Amino acid sequence: MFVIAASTLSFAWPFLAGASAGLTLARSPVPRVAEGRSIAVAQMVRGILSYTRWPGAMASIRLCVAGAPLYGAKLAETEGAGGRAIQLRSLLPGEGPGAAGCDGLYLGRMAAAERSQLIAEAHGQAIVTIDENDPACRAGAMFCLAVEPTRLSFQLNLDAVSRGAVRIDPKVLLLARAPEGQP
Amino acid sequence: MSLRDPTLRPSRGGRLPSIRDVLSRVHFRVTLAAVMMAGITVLLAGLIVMRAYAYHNLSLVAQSASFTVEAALVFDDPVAAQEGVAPLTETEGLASLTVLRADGRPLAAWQRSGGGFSYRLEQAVGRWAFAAPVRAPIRHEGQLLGEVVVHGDAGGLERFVVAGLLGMLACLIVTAVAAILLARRLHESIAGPLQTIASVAHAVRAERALDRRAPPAGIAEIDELGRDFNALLAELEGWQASLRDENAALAHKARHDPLTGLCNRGSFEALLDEALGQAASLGRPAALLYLDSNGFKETNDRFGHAAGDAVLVEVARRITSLLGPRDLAARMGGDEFVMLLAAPADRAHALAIADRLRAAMADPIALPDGTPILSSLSIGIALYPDDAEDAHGLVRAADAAMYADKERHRQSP
Repeated sequence: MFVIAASTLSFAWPFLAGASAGLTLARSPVPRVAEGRSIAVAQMVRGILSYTRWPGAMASIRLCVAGAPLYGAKLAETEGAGGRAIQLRSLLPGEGPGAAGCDGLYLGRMAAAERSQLIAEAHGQAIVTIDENDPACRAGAMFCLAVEPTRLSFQLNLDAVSRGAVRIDPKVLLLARAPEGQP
Repeated sequence: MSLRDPTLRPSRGGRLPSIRDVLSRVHFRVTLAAVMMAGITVLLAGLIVMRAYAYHNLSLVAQSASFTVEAALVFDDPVAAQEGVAPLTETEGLASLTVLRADGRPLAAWQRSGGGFSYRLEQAVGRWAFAAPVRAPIRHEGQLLGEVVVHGDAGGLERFVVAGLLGMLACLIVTAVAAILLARRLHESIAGPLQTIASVAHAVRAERALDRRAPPAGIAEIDELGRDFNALLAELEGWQASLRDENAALAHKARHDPLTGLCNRGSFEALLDEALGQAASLGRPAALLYLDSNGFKETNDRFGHAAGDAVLVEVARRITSLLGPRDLAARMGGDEFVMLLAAPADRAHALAIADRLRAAMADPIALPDGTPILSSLSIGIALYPDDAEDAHGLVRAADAAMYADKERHRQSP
């Protein structure tokens, strides 16, 4: 999997700097930690969706959530940028993302086989894939969130992006940074 | 510059400037004004254009930064924003670059660091030249996320001004040298002919050299001045010549008898002294013949003064015809004449001359009315230094000898 790792870009979000959620987090008791991370994840997902271009014009984006997301609590509150509303939909077990009419696929915790199945199916369609639970970004999703104790980051799987039917704005590539532990 | 021209001598205690000084000064002022005007115009125009370019450049930097940090701002990533703008900060003329979020908090900020006079000057000039920062909004999906604020400094402008001033200085030096050379050439063509005229004037005044003339000059006014000057000199020369002629005529009149054209008594006495001195220095004798017309008074009474004058003129002519080249004849007054035979003239030569004179007088003289008349001469001879040692004595001796001769005539006409 060396090729994937080498072509994987990551993006880091320091929790304490910037977002108001992060500031709240610094002064809040433990239960608020998860909430702050959820807000940060929701903002990141919104950012990723705003830089994603689908083949056709769309008034709204349908984001399907598969598995059991850890930080998906605030995804529903995500306001769509640029006038495109984001519709959240849970993907039922066994349901295919293409059949469900998903534009984006948010992958929570699930079995590795099911994850591979969903990703493979999504990449046949115009669907951007965001994996919450693959810090090394080896399962094949386009974006992999890496939730660390102090910061949130994402990696970009260039192989997956180049094979996918959706186009990712190159501006996101400007944020490219080597994954944690890599030069 | 020294004053080499004597005609431009210092006067009234102050030093008068030479033509060259004046020309040099005028040239320098003209070129200084020209260079300053051209230089300042170009410098100002250049500054305005460069400032416009610098503004344009700043706005390009701001727009590039806006594009570059858009994603970083969307994901609220200060590190990525800082890294994104880092390459832009190498742009020249950039003092600071700040990426602001929509609420005004900075996401990334960069400021040129530096020290020293040059840096402070650039900052100061930059604050003056780019009082207002350049701002570029950052938009994503139609929403204003923040803005990029860029301040410029005067890095390029300062170098342009310094280079411009140095260029102007170099131009000034070149034009100053050119002005001096030009003034020298003009000086040669203007002051040269003037100095020639002045030196001619000086020679005319000091040496009375009225025949000197100013040469033609290459400049119309100076040439005209020279020609007028030459004409004036020619007139002066003419006046001087006529004065000389008049003086000579007056002097001749003062020394000569107007009727016969012979020397008068006064001038003869001076010339006699001179001739005797000459004879003494030669050690040879000189002879003086004193002549008196016999019967002149009767001729005068009988035929009138015109006849008497005619006789005197004819006698003088015959006397003159016998003179040697250095001999001298004079009318002493009335009907008395003298002949001075210059040394060497011994008694025999004097007697021979006297005989020839008597022979010459044997021819009758025709009066104005045609009447022929015979006129004889009484002749007295005195020799220097035998008969007298000085002029006065010689004349007296000759006069006495003449009276003796007249007595002989009277006794045997």
